[in-house]
Amino acid sequence: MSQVLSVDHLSISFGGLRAVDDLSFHIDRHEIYGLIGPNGAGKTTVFNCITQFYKPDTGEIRFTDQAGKEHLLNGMPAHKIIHLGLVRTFQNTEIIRELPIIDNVLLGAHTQFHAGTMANMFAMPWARKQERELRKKAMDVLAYVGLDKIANEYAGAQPYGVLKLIELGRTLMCDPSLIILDEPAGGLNDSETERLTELIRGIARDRHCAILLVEHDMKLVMSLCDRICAISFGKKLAEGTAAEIQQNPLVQDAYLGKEDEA
Amino acid sequence: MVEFFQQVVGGIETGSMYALAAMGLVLIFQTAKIINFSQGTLGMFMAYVCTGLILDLGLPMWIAVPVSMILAMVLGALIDRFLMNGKRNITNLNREMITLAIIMIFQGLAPMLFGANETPFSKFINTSALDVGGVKILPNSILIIGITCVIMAVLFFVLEKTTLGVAVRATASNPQVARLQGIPVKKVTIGAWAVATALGCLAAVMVAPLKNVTVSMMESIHLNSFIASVLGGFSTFYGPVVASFIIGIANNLLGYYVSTKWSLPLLYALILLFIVLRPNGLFGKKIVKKV
Amino acid sequence: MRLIRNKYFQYLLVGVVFLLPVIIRGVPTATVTLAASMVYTAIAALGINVLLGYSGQISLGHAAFMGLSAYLSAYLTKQMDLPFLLSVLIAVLVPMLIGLILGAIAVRLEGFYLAIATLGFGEILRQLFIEMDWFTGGFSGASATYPKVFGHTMSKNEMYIFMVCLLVVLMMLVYNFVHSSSGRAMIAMKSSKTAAMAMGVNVFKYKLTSFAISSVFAGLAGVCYVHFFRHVDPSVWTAALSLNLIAIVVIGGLGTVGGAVVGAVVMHGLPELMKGLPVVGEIPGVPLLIVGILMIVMLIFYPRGLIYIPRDIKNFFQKRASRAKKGEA
Repeated sequence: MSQVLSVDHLSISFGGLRAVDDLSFHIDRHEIYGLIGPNGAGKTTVFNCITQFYKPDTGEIRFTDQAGKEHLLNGMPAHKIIHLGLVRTFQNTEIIRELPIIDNVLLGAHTQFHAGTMANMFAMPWARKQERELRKKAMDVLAYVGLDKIANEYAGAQPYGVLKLIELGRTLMCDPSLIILDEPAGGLNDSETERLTELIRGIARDRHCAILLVEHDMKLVMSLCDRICAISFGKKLAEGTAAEIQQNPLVQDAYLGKEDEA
Repeated sequence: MVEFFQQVVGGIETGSMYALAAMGLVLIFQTAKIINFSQGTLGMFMAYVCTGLILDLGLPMWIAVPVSMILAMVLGALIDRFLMNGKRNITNLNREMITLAIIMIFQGLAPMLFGANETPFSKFINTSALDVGGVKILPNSILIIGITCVIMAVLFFVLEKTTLGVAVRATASNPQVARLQGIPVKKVTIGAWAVATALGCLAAVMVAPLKNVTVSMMESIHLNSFIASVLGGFSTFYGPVVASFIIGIANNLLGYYVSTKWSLPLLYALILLFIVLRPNGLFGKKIVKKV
Repeated sequence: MRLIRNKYFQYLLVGVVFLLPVIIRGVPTATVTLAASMVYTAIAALGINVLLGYSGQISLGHAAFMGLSAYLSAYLTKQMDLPFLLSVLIAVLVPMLIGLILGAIAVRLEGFYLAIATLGFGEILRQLFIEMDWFTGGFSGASATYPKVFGHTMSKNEMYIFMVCLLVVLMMLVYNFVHSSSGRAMIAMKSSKTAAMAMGVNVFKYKLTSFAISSVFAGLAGVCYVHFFRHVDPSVWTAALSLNLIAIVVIGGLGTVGGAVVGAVVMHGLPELMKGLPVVGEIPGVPLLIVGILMIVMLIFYPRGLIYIPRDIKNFFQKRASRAKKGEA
């Protein structure tokens, strides 16, 4: 099985509104997969359903971990998902403003810490050793995304672009097999977006993980993604490579804009 | 059977006082988004003021009480204008801390200005109980229940049917958007504080005959109004009011049929259990956070 | 200079300062009593700080835990004649277990609802204290003695020294906890439950943990109280005390270890100071009034907490120095 994630017949409604309607797609290992659609199409809702922040009405979500074991994500508590190697970022950059940047990144390694409350309170040597090791790993990650110089600055004082990078770094700490990025380039300018594109490409390549992303910046999506799924009003419009998607009339209609009539 | 109704009537009476205090709490909570921990203490202080008006200035009760309520409104307005919104970006937690400090201030002021002795306070109407089918009801109790119902009716009418009410509900729903719509949110909160403090004053004056005018007179009403707000759920205006009457009646019934000592703790335990099962209270609505 | 930055050293210094009343000769015993009030309050406040400052949960019922452990320790040492250390253990474990139950309830509630649920809970316990007079002695209360450890009965001063040492140790433990993965998880949970969950933080577990820690600390405070003052009655363990603890933590500095101590010192010390003043101190209600006013002034103009004063003073002088340097250049 070379699939890392498979979503089958996913549906969820809020009140009377069908936010996601019978959506199915799958992502292969080491693939960069894009999800596009107009605002309100349901993209973030799909992410929330996959990561069990919302419980879908119907549909199954299956995830295959590094060891090749398949897991059914439905019904799993949201905080257990990361243990499998699936990690995400948020549209609203859920960053802990009161903590320094490095602590924010360290949060991503939370599941790797063995020390419990007692061990931490009494500063057991083995707990401190692990803290040192993981702190070093966090610094390496920060260096990778280019934030190592400001590692000890408070996250709350940082500009939006830096917050996005912190979130990205945070996902790398758990050595994931699938990273879900929710509008990683949101609010970034052109040069920042270019850097981000290279960064994401590097992550997929160097860390051998798949990436599922939602983005409005078409340039980034088309240049980065191996395959793209276009949705509108919660329904799948089309799926394929960048070229195929761009040519698809349904997608053009709903999202990319019609060709000018001569 | 007669005893049952006797207890129910008594419960409606105490429930009225809880309802007035709870209404004050929910008004402030909905508009200013904070819990006013000093609600009871301010009521206590205004009861002292009212006593002063009656004993020192010789004003009759039916003048002194409304005057005290007006003074209470002024006090509430001043508190909101200068303490709650004195500086621009106070966090809500800090505002609530300020209400705690207000408790200290007025618990200190009361004995300072009015002396430390307990003062008796007379009921509104002093005639003896009527006998309604075996149930003894004091005219005073009828008056208390009546006043409460009238006030509730007026408040709900204003909230539902007038432009002012729309402004209040808009502020309660989303202050930023309300501001954008041209609603003077600051004035709304000042108004809410004014009305809430007046309601607290009224509740204090109603309970004064039972407890005498002392620093701790409002403790039980205060606590129960909070519990009522939890039970009724804070997302509606009517929730805590309904819950207040439920608590008043339930407490009396539990007291009579089970035990007076344990009625209140038992009631709290039941409510706690209820809250675990329904965290948003009787009438609360759950809001799903958008990530 | 390095040494002074070390937090452990700072906490030891705090301990030394608190020990001065017993080291220096000729200090009136009333001072030691006042200091003891500050110490046991600080211990309870440390716990509330973990609960409120680090995990963002409000409890208005923690006074009840203090009372529970006070009564338990009194009963176990006096009526059941258990050795001091054992009864302390039990007296702290019981509130912890109840705290876990409260925490389990707390998981379903947020903000205001939690505050009031804990308030009701505290009231229920207080009523129990009054009613269960076989255990608590009802309104007249229960009494205990200075603890007897390893055959030696402590004196008042020795008990006080024990309390101070306990406070210092607890400060260090809290510091360790906060600067570890557990502390990070809690702070994350307070700031963004979403991020915490996505990073694998079991919110339920950590909410329970913070309730457990805070109730253990409250229990320790209660034990200190009953074995120092040697008497306990239900009038102490009111919602007002719980509210006071919250005020202490906020005034001293929410989310800091030292804040709990600073707040406790101020909240106990200020009214005492007021009472000592000529004329003003005589009028009833004035101490409370002044404390209230000061609290408001602090909250409006200096909301982060008194503990930040030294740092802000330092920053102020540093800025002046660098501006002066720039002026010269």
